[in-house]
Amino acid sequence: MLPELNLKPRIVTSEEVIIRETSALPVTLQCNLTSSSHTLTYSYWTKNGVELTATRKNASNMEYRINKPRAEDSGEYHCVYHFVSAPKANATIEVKAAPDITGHKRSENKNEGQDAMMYCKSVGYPHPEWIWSKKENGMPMEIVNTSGRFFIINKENYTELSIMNLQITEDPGEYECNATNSIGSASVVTILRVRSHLAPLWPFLGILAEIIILVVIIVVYEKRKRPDEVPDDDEPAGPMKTNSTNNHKDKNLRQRNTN
Amino acid sequence: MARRSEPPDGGWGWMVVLSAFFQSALVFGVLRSFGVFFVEFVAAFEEQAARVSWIASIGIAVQQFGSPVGSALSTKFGPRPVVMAGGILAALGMLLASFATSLTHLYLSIGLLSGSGWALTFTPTLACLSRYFSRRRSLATGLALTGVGLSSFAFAPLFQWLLSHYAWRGALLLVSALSLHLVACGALLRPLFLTEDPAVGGPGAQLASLLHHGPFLRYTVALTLINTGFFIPYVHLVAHLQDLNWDPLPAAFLLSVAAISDLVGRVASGWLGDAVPGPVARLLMLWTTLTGVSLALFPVAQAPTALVALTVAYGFTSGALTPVAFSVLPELVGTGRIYCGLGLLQMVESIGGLLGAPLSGYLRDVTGNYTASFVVAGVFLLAGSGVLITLPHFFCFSAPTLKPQDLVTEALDTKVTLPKEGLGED
Repeated sequence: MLPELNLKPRIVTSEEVIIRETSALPVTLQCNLTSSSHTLTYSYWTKNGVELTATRKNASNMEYRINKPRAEDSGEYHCVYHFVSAPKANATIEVKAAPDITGHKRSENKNEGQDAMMYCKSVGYPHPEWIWSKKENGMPMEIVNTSGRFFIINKENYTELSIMNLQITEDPGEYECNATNSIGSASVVTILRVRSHLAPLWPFLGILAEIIILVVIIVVYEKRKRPDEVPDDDEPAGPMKTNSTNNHKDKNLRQRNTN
Repeated sequence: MARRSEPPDGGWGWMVVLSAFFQSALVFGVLRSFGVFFVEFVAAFEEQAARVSWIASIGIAVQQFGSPVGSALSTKFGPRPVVMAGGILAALGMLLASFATSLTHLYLSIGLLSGSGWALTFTPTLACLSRYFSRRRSLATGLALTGVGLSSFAFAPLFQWLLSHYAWRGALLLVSALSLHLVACGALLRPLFLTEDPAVGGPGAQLASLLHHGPFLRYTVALTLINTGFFIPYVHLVAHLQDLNWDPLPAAFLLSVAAISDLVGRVASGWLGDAVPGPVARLLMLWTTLTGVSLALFPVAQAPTALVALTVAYGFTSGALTPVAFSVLPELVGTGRIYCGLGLLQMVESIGGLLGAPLSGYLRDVTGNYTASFVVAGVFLLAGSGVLITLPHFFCFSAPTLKPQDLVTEALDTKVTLPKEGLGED
C-alpha cells in the first residue's frame, strides 16, 4: 500500500501592517487556505495567543477588520485552522505600532530610607526595549547602579524601577522610562521626591544660634552705650521717671500757660 | 531719664528703619510668597486649592484684626518686648505647621498662631518708626516698606529651592527659623520717651479719646474706602490679562514691572512727603486720585503699550500712597497715641481689604469681564480721596509742618495743661 502524501496546508496572508498615528484608515487582515488535503472544521483569529471573540467560522478565507487602528490594536495575530484528524495550522500577521505609554506615576514621594517604586505600562508591537534614565540638568542620563540599590524589572509591555533605601542627596529628581521598538519610541517622566526629617535640622539650629547671638549683641551694645539707662520694659505711658529738675520746668511752663 | 520733646529724626531711628525693613519683609514677603507652598499642600493633603488658600487668608485676617491688640500692648510695655514676643509666636506657628497632619492643623498653626505673631510685630514697629521721625517720617516709612516688595522677589525662588531640597515639612521648619529673625528685629526697637506720652494715658484712655476724635474717624473712613479698591488689581490683573489673551509669561513679566514701579513709588513718595511743606494728607489725596484714575482707565486700554503704561502708573501711584498713608496718622493724632491709632486704623481698614476682592470677583462673574471691577475699584479710591479733603488744615498752603504736640493739645480733652515745645528751656 502506498503511503498517502500529506500536503502541508498552505496559507496565504496579507502583508504586515504598521499602524501610524497619523493615518486612521481601517486595516483588514486576510488569510486564505489555498491547499489542504484535509477537511476544515473551523477557523478563528487570535491576538497574542488569545482567541478573539466572534471570529470562529468555517471558512478557508478569513478576514479580520480593525476599524480605527490604534496602538492597542497592535500585536501578533494568528489565523488558526482546525482539521479533522490532522494538526491545526496557523499563519502569522504582525500588526506593528510605535510604543505608547499608557500608565505611569506622575510623582513618587517617599521618606529617606524607604523604598521607591516607579513603573511604566505601554501598548505597541513589537514589544519595546525599556531604558530608564535620570534627568541631570535637563538631559537624560542612563542610570548607573554603583550603589547597588537600583532594581529594574522588564516585561513585555511593562517596566518597573525600584530604588531601595532612598538617599536624599542622590536620588531625588526626574526619572524617565523610554520604550523603543523598530517603529518608534515613547517616554514619560516620573518625579521622585525624598523627604528627610533630619536634613533641615542642622540649618535650623544654626540659624537659631545666629539669632540668639544677634539679640545678645544688640542688647549688650545698648547696655554698654548707656549703662545708666533702665532696662527695656519701661512703660512709656506710665508714671514719669524724671528727676526733680524736669518737674520744676513743668511747673514753670504751667504757670506761663495760665498767665 | 530725660524725655525728648521732639522725635530724633535720625540717629538710632535709622536702625529702626532697618528693623522695620526686615520685619515687613519677614511678615508680608513671607505671606506673599506662600503661594509656592500651596501646590505642595494640595498634593500632600489631597485638598482643593480654594481650601488651601484659606491658610493665607486666615493669617492676613488675624494679622489685621489683631493689630489693636499689638498696639495696646506696645503702649503699655513698649514695642520691643511685644515685637520680640510676636516673632516667637510667628516662628512657633511655622514650626508646629511642619508637623501638620491635616489642613485644619495648618489653619491653626500658620493662620492663627503665626497670624497673631505678625499682628504683634508689624503695627507696633511702624508706630515706633513714626515716633522716631518727624521731618523725615515719610522717607523713613517709604524705605522701610520697600522690604515688602524686595522680599517678594527674593522669597519666592528661595521657598521653591527649600521645597525641592527639604520637602515641605523641612521647608516650613526653615521658614520658621527665618521668621525668628523678627525677634532680633524687635531687639533693635529701643524704647523712645516723648514728652506727650504721659499725658495721653494708657491704652484704654487712648482708645477712648481716639474714638471721639473727629479727624481720626474721618481718616479711618477714607482709608477703608481706599483699601477696598486698593487690592483689586493685585488679585485680578493676571486674570484680566488672560481675558485679553495675553500669554502667561508676558503677564508675569508685567507683574514684575508693577512691583518695581511700586518700589520706586514708595521711596520717591517718601522723599517727596518730607520735602513738600504742609499736611501730608494732600499728597495722599494726590496719589490716591491718580491711582483711582489709572484703575478706572484699565478697562479702556486694549493695546499692550497702553496696558504697560497703565500698570507702571498704577504700580507707582499705589506704592506712593502707602508710606504717606502711614505718615498722615501721627500728624492727626500725635505720636503719643500712634500705637493705638495705627492698630485701630489697621483693623477697620482691613474690612475694606477683605470686602474688595470678593466684591470685584462677584462683579466679574455677573458682568463677564473685569471692566466693572476696575471701575468700581477706581470709584472707591476716588471716594476715599474725597473724604481726605475733610481733614483739618487741608487747605493751608503755606502753613509749616504741624508739630504733633500741638495736635495732641487740640485733640485731648484734658484738664492737665501739657508742656509746650521746649523753646530752649531744656
